[in-house]
Amino acid sequence: MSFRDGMLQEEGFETDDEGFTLTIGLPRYRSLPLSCVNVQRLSLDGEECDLSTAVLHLDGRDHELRRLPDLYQEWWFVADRARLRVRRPGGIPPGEHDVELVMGLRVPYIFMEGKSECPIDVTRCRKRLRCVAGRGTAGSAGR
Amino acid sequence: MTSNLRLGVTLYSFTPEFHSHRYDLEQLVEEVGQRGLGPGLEIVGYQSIKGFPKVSDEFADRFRGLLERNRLAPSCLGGNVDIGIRSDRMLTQEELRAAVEAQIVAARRLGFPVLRLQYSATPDLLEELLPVAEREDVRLGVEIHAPHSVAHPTIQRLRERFERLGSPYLGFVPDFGASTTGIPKVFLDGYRRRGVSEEVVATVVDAWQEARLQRKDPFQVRKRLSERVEAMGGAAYDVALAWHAFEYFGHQAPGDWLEIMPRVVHVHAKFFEIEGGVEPSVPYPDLLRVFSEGGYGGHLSSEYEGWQWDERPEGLADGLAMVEAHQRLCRGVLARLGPR
Repeated sequence: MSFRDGMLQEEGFETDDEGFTLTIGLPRYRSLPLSCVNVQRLSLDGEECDLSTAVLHLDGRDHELRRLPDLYQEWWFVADRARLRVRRPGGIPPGEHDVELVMGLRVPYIFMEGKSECPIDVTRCRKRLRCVAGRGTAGSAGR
Repeated sequence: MTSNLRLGVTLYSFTPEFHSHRYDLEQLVEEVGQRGLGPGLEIVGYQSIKGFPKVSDEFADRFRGLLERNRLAPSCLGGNVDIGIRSDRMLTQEELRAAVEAQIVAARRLGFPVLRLQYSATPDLLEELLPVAEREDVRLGVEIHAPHSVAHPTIQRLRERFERLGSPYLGFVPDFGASTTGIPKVFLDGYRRRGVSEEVVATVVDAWQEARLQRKDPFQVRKRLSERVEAMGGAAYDVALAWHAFEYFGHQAPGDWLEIMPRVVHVHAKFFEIEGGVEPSVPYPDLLRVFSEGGYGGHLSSEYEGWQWDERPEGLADGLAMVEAHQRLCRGVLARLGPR
């Protein structure tokens, strides 16, 4: 177990007829605006997931993943959990799955002088998680 | 005269405990009070407070009461100068000024005498913020963190501006991680567990020690080293190891802090691991002697950072126990310094 393992939470991995939902933590010491958060990759049992229509549910609001770069005024409080909703007709089989998630977080106060870009801190987390049949809505997020 | 240094802690040391919901803010402050890890208490605004830099009256009252009850003194509020929050461009100076001003106000409302800032604050921005700092009675301290040092041009430009303005409200927050003598084992072991080869580890350690001994520019060395390590074509975390070895562990001689001592408003007493009562990579006896003899009389926040790479299968070290061990080390060193 490490601090970064909190990125994939053990609880709240659910499937339903339209897809599946994971509970994720922010692998960082501090809160960040969603514009600094990039869910780079998700795989399930070694198979890449299509994230083009995925949605992040945070603090009672839904955000399409592809819109995150614009959301510099929406903050993810570091101790809150988010729900990552991946659409997949028919869902996935309940039971254990190998889940691998890669997130890239922009570090907004570090920059190379003379350059207008900040470094991206990439965190990978792989876990075997148990998926249960759920209700299909994003459900409760947060603390 | 014995040292006037006051010990304390930043809750950043307990990031994993907070992040995993094992402790909330109130429980951490109470734990710090009960274990006598104060008197100074520091927090990172964007870690401890939801909605920061907005702080409600109710929250501010509760926070001040919590510290008082636990006989702790607010030492420093960790602010962030987030110039890069937008994806399309850097913030303008005006946008950044407003963002930092809100944090200065938050510091005053919470009772913090110092706000830690970062090098993304330019000399012009700090000059613009000086009247706000005076109005709110909050001193601004730009953190000097590896790979920066007192001699780096970015820090030199701040030093020149601070000298010209001559205000006690503008200063620095030295981070002891800028003055290390080696790369900590907990860091290297963490990257080994993430799949970095011994060959890459040795390449990074050699380049780091060579840069230290030959006093090379860490930014230049890091850039070339990252390219070299990438060409070695290995694991996903190879370049991260090369990059972070210079991001966290600096080469500045402890005595060089004397150059800015009158402008030091707070100190991050960074540590990564404690072995046999000693921090093997941070020269505490030298550093505490320099700050004590240099006349620094403010807070020294124990800042534990080893949790970042602590991935032992048996579980993370207990941050509270680590800080207790660190403060025993500091007390021992300060006692041996004795009267001066």
